[in-house]
Amino acid sequence: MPKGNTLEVIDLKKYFPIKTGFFTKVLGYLKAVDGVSFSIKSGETLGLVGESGCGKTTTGMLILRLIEKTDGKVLYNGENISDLKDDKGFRKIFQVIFQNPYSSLNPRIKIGSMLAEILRFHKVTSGRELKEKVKKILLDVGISPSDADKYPYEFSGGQRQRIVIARAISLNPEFIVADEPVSALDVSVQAQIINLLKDLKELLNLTFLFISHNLSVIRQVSDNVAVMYLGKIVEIASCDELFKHPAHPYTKALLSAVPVLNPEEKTSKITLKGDIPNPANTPSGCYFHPRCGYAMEKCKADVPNLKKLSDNHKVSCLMNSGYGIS
Amino acid sequence: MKIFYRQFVKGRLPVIGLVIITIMLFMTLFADYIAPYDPYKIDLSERLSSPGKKHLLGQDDLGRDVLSRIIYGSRVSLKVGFFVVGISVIIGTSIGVIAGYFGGWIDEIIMRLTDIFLAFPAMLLAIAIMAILGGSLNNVIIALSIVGWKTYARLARGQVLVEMGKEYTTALRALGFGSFRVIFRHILPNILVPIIVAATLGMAAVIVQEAGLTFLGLGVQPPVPSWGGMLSEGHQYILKAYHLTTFPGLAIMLTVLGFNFIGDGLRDALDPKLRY
Repeated sequence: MPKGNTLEVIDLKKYFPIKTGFFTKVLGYLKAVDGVSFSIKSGETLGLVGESGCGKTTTGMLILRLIEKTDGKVLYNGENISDLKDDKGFRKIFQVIFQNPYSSLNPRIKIGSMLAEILRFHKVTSGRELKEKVKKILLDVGISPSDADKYPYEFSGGQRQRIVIARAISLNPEFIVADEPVSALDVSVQAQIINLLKDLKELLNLTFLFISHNLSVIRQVSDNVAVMYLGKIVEIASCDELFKHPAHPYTKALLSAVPVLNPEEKTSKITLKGDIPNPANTPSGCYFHPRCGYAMEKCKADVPNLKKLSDNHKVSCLMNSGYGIS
Repeated sequence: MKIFYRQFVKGRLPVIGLVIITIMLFMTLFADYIAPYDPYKIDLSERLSSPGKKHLLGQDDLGRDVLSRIIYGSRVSLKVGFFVVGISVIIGTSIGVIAGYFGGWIDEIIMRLTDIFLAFPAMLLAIAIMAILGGSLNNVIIALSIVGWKTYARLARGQVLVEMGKEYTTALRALGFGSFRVIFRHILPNILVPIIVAATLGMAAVIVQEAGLTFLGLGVQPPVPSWGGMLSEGHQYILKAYHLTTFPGLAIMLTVLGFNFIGDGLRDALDPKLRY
């Protein structure tokens, strides 16, 4: 497999119109995703972090075309997939894993028949092979094939998430959007699921967009990490680089909030003031300036763009245009 | 299923309801064999005679046997009940599911239409429709279906929205499944329970409405026996012959109670939402 850019997201935007009623005019737009660009190499994982409401999930849904984009492009192996007509073909390549394993399975359908329905629908296999294939998929995610005749409520949360993963890999996809796949699970189960995802990634040569608000999870799975704030990517770097040399004040604040295991180690916590601003009414200039400890006069007026710090490190902060702070 | 059964039986009342309705159904189906007399046979010599050994529930103003007429009258009530509820559920659910699933302007138009029907007094509308169509059993069914579907539309729409909010429907779309498959194979089975409960309770309401229409002379026309019609014919003799109105009234009450008991029982037994 050549390590080219498999998935390229270019200036993706999603504006939700704000309306009050049936016949009323559009009052404004909620900029959920506001010009996001990144690329993921084949077989790699991009971690997408940010506070809740910053547009992480929307970005994932846009790539999967589960919601209509407002503007921008998504290229997959150089082909523009955001306006693609061949839906069935697209769905086979792109799959999704959700956060809540309790609502992401239909409670009335046995897990075996669920998988069989998918395989039959996409004409992957049929007849006698179908059962074998279902068994194999269940084994791949660590569920006993004898459980195929059980309903979702007969499984625990962790097992259900395995079933959700089974559903996602059943069509041999190439790209998976994992939307907070472990946030709803307890910590010991989290580790199992993360290991399962890592194993499957090797086994099936998957490329991941891994969405999470949990930095320690992101650190474990990601090759590259993108930090999102209010619909924009503020910093994107390789995993090591980001955790060692965070450049954006927001990233620093996020990292300082992660508990440290070593009690000897001195940490200086950066506490952010206030809440995430309303994305329908964004601040002027740099979106982060009202909460930023380093904010300067020009931050209120100038909009920063992603600028290269080093080979695999880009940051969107006015301070980094001339002199670094790290 | 076992849990469902235990819950249903535990209430006692649902079981009573089930017994009542079973008896009613039995009466309806085998009226020809059960009824002691021909419900149309006029015997003017024994007009308004009180309940006695020969005629268990007495005779009406034309000397017809009240018990036989009640037994035959159950046909009208139950037929109207089943047909109206069946038609209303099918139409209402389809409309509600479409509104909930597709959303947007389709939803707006359908739901405003439903609101108009909801805002209109159902009985008044039914009377108006009957006045236009004329009185007959089929027209009663049509009129009551026209006023009946809205409840199910609202209910179905709400339930679809709940299901659409769950991630599994998004996952189904991510798998490329078409709307048809998602609706029929995945969403419908999940929203059926509350609709069945509403339908059972709706049955009771429809039977009362039918009796009301017939009482007003707009429903099934005499001499066909129906409970509402018997009330209507008997009410002028209410002081002289109580049995003309009391027994059909009791029949209506029992049937309505029966359906309500079953409906409540179903709701309680099915409500602690499928343990997911």
